[in-house]
Amino acid sequence: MTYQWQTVLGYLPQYLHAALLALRITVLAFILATVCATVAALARNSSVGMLRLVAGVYVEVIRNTPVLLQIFIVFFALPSFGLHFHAVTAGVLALGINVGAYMCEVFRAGIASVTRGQTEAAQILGLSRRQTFVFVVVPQALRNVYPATVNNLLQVLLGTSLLTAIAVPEITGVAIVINARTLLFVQVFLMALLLYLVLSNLLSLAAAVLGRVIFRPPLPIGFVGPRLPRFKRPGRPERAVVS
Amino acid sequence: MRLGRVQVTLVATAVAAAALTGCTPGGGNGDSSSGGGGSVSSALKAIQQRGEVRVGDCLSFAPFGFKDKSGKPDGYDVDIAKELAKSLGVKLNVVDTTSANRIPNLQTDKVDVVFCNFTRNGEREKEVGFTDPYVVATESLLVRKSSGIKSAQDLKGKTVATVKGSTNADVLAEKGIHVDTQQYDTSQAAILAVKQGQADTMIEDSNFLTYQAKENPSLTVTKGALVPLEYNAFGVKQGDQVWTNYLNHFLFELNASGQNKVLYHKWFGVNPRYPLQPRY
Repeated sequence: MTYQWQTVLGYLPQYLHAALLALRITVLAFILATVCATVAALARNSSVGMLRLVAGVYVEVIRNTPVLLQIFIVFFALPSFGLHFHAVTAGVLALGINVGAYMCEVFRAGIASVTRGQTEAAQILGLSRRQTFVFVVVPQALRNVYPATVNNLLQVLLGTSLLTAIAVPEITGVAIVINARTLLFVQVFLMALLLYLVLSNLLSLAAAVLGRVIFRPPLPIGFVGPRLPRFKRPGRPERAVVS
Repeated sequence: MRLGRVQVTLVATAVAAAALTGCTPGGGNGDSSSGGGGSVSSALKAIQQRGEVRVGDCLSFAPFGFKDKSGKPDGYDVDIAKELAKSLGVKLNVVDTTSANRIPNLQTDKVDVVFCNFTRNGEREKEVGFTDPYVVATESLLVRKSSGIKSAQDLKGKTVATVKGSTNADVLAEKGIHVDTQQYDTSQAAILAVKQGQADTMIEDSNFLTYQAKENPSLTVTKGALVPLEYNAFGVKQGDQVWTNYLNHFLFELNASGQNKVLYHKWFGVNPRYPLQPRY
């Protein structure tokens, strides 16, 4: 192990602290994003024109502007209106609102992809609109949106790197500071890169395991674990079933 | 040994490959900069051959360096850089840099000299070379007028905004005052944080802060000096004595003719407070 790597590995506690902070921000922002996305998706699909308008404006404005600018506005501009947020809170808010807009569109696509036959059959069976939505549409939509939502989760994780602009001590910010002290840029930034790789792979793995647990096969994402002989591979037609 | 262009490229590639695998190229600091002729390779020769001097300056640090309305670099540092280019008889190319990457820019030959209000200290002398001082500064606090902070003693438990890569907040740790530090990418971001109430103060060069308080009526600078005087000089690549000598001579002429004082007054509105060389 060369002297440079030893020096950089000496900063490991700071890196890990930053990684934990990044993970915390990711989880909180993702929860906020899910809430925003659900509300916005419902609003955009509702029959009330005002709701559709407000949600539409939210999604279009947020998706068509850079997230770094949004972070700056939440942290630097809102205090002029009396809203002071601590850097981490501002980061969670900005990232949550931003990815929420993207997730809203994913959710809407997922809901729309549940075939009309399902809702019609549910209505015929006497389920109310709300029951139809909660018990018939959502489980199927969830399976449809799952891979894209995991993508959005990783988008949040990588978006935390932009929070360095508002002085949040997360991985990228810490790497820049350590680099300024030691000037070992190759090792310092490789270390940061590795941390991001580890974190995003951990999150993907957790998502895959969760997907396997809550979804019946065929699973919407790659297998984790041995292939069980009972279930056909997705794409392979099953034996003809009389419906 | 004459180094042709092919050999220089090969050497540079080998050095880059060695750096990537973590080995230090043995003291080969000055070897890759000259294009031909002579046993002494110096940035000075490279500048004359190129016909252009690349000056690294922090263009987000008014009034030392900033971009004017048409986007061209301007400021106290830039004025001195123009004088330098004039004395060399070459074109001036001002390269925007930041506190965090000024040393890497020097070491990777992206610039020939770095201005950027570079404080000379022993720690940095290990990585880069310095010329004689060209401006003297100390550190003060930039605070909101309404905050009531008068000195460093009022800072216990408050938040301090600094710039990534600067050592300004270390003075508080030395005095045993516990603060929360926030590190921003640019000094403008740090000032904005103080103005908007996201941080309580910013510790920075007193000259710079005086100018900022002039521009922002809601902010003010505390009177005391936090640290012993800082002598700011030009940064050059370590080991290039020929270039350092030239720059020192240039600075001597700049000071002896009074031109430095005139430029300082133009940008800060007052004469320089402290003499460039201490008397002892």
